[in-house]
Amino acid sequence: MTDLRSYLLRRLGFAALMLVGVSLILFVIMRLAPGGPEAVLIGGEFSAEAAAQIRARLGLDRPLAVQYVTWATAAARGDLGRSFKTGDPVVTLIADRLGPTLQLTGAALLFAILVAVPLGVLAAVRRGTAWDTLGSAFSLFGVSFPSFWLGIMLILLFSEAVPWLPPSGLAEYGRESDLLSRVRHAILPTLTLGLIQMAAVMRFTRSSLLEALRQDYVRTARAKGLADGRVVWRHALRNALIPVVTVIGLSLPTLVGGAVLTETVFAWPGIGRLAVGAVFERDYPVIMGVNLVVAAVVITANLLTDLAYTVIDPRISYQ
Amino acid sequence: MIHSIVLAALVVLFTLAGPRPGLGAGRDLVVGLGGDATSLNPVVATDGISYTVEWPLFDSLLELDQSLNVKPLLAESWETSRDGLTYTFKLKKGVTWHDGKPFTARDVAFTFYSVLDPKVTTPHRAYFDALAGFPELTAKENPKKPEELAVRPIEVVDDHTVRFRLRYPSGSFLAVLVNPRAGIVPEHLLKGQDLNTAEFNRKPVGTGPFKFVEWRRAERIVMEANDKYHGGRPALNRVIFRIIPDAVVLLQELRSGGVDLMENPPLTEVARLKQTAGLKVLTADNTSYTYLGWRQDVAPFTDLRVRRALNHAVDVPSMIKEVLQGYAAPATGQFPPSSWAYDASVKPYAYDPAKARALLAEAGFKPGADGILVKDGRPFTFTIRHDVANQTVKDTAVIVQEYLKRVGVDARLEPLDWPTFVKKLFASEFEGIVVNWTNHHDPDPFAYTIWHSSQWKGRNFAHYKNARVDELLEQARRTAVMAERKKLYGDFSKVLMEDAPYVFLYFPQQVYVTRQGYEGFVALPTFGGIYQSLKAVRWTGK
Amino acid sequence: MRLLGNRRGMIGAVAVALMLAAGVLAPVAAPYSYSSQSLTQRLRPPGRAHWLGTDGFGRDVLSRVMWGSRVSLQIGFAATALSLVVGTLLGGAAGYFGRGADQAIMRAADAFLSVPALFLVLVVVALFGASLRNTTLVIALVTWAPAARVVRAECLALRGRDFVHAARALGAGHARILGRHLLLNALPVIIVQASLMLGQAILIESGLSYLGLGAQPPLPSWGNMVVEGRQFLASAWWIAAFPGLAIFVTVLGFNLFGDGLRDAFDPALRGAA
Repeated sequence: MTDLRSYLLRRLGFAALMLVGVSLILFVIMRLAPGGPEAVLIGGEFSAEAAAQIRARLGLDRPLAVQYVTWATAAARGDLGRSFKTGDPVVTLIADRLGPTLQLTGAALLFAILVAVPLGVLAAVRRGTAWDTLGSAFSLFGVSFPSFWLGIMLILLFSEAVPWLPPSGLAEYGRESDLLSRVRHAILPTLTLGLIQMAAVMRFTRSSLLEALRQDYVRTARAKGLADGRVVWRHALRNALIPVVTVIGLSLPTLVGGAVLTETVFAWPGIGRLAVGAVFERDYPVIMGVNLVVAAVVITANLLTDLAYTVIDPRISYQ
Repeated sequence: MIHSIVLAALVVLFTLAGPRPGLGAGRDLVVGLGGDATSLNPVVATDGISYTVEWPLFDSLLELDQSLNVKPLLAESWETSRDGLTYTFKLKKGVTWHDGKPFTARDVAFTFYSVLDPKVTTPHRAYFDALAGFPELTAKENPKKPEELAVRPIEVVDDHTVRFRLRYPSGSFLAVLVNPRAGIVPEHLLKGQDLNTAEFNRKPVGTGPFKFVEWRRAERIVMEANDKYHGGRPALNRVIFRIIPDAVVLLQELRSGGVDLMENPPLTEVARLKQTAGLKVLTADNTSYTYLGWRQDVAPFTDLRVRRALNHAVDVPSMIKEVLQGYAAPATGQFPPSSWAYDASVKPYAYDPAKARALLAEAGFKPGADGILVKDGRPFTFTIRHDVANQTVKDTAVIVQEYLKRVGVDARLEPLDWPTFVKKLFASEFEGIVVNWTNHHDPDPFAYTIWHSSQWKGRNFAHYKNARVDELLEQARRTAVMAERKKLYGDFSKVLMEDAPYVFLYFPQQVYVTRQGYEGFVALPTFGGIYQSLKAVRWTGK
Repeated sequence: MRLLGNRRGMIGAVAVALMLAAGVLAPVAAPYSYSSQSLTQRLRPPGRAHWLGTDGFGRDVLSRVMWGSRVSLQIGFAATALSLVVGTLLGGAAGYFGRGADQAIMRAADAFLSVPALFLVLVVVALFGASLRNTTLVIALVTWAPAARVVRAECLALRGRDFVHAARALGAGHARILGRHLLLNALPVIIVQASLMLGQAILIESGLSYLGLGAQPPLPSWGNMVVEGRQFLASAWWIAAFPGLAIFVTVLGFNLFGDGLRDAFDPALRGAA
């Protein structure tokens, strides 16, 4: 077990290093770019003095190194600063948005897995038949549309043709804690995002199950006379899970960072929109803060995923 | 068991059917916005959405009528001294802030001294240039405090009387005392605070017809009727501003009942919306205009013939008819047709591509091999920068590019995002631009800052310079006599059109779509004018 | 070859070929220029003069869809190629060599992966301009890491296999094992990845267009055509529908083609029924 412990420590050390690296690179990129938050804050009645005043107030006239170090030391303490635009603490902004984002992307991933894994299994087991083609076609459908396109199509379909799903928003005013209202509002965005996630999950399930079914030990098991069903479920599926876990891992930044386009279409108050808005408005503290939080979560999840590999595939080791 | 099933079914049905919640009498109005506000403090907020949301929360001394003349609001009456240098306002009695404290003249003085305070970041300051002591109070080095001045610009005479002193007679002084740029803020909550960052900006307290309830970032801003409003409780229960960034989705929300009022729908949809049962379309003129501009001090734009040629090259009436569906007025200068300063005798350049080509030929341009004009070996090509986020401006730029191409001018479009665009604009780093510029309903503030040659570091980023224009603008600023101002601005418009510094394109109208059954909307011909009437809007259900 | 018999793959191939042809032939075969406007011919439904109708500026939709093919596919191929080269090499090295190399490469990949794709793309494009070159580079930047991870996982699983031990016993060097045995066996995975990425690149570009940052007008890309056409969905559906269809057919085509290729390459299928 010391193997595992030292591995973990090393990974955590790297993680910290990486967070610093990622934030530093982002910091530099943003400062190199033209324009700054003052243009957004002043809007159409821009004046040079107002701009200079704002820059001074936001601390943007200090040397870059000083700005970064100030930010980094505060961040290490858990203080991510305040939004340039509204003055809200970044931590609050992120915390408020994390819920809706995780709800949406979690539900979408769940939907994708629930629909796509069985489809993938079906396609692999009935490979070459109509089931295979149908399954693939269905899952590929979702991934072949841009999400903002799919979103608006679904909205039009369900608001015009079958008007009982609301086009956008989290819940009606005054009904935030009403579960049914939340669910109704979540259906279309979840569907949009889920249809898109489906393809990757389905394809990887199918291909890796096919791969696993071909393995020697499966053939041996079959030759020994074990029933097909048991062969599939017991031996093959376990190995087939590896790429599925990979795919989930790959979806993580989207999961946590928010599905930007879907959130914009459905006016969903999530992290993705927060991040995008911050980029357009040069709201540096928010950009850096969101990036840090998302990176931290993803790095942690990757670590967990890698650990999951060891459990699922005993052949993979960590010398 | 059956009971619970039935109950559950009823709950499901009820919530699925979902009538909109409304407390007590009256009804809510849900307004759709394309983005979130920045700050709800009228002294410091300067973007369009913040203005919109502040308007129902804060009162100003005066408000506007349909012809954009001022009428009383918080100020019941006023007197002007003979020399035009002193304005004495009598304030309404019995007005209270949303937190119950009484509104007094001290709040008025506090508000405007804050606007003048150099430590407060607000471009509104420039509108009060006429106040006595303005240069001393707003000086960059060692600004004075109001107490240190011999002549106080703002004086609290008593609880309900406030006096303003000007340093020159100004015809626009009253006009700048209206929302959204002059809402009064409470001294008792803001004294001693830094207005730039006060918590107040997120939880505002005003004297307006609606009281702030909550602001959920990127989702909505909610306000409810002010029972104690001095003008009578508004008929509406609540006003809920919903933030929906996707314009197509916003339109869908309007159609399906999630939103009751939206502004500026895609213009091609307006005809259909007019015919949709249950929806109503309101239009009003606006003061902002869209133009094709360029650096005045850079060749070839220094040549008057070139500038006039470009004016002849663009078919504005066609653009308005086909692309804007007629919801715009052709622009002949700084002032919209609905403004009193507008001079109908100033005519735009006619669409005449042949004439354009002739003028360009006169200016020394000859068609090159690919049809692009060339002079002295250099092709007539320049970049047009514009805001990437404004769809109408983008569309306009594309059309303008095409018209220019037809007369042999190669314009390359370079859309930039807003922060970059504004920075380059005010640093005068551009060749050509297509911009939609906000305006004030009074001619002076923008006319002066855009066209006066002293403003090259400010809004005159195109570096325009014309001595006659300077003279006219200065005179117009310093007189309070309406007839004189009108004549001066008329002359100004004539000179400007002859000089052709821009291709003035159009004044886009404001178009609002609202649900049938709401009565009382009055769309004033100035930015966001409809929000002034929210206090009078009521639901009749018809 | 096996591929020809694979129906799915062939359908995909035909679809892709069609779109490619449209793009290649656009300069000669498109009936109109992609930018010539006619304000009086706006919003015309599909008809004789304009087979796919005209858009909000009176431009011919068919011509723009053809030209859009060039832009969208150009970005797609360039970004994917770049991304794959980097991703495969790095992922293969990580999976094969393990330990130090694996750690280093995977940490780098993690860094890229921990920033949400669109976010990173957005930051770079919004700040440095939406040129075709920037868009391509940044899409590659964002997609190499998933490719690397997938290849690495495959190599990790493969390197313990018998044929690798055998090859090593026979004295094969690292490069040979990596190149000949591992990567070749990982090829199906890589190809599936490539087909996904091609589609993904096109979708990312359209996403950027939605946010205002893709290919800029008047240059047509399917993405920005769909975005421009969205406001006309009710009144002039053809403006968004045809480029949308083009995206759909192309992305679907790449996906089907990839599936077909994978099946064709599958060594276990050779000789099997």
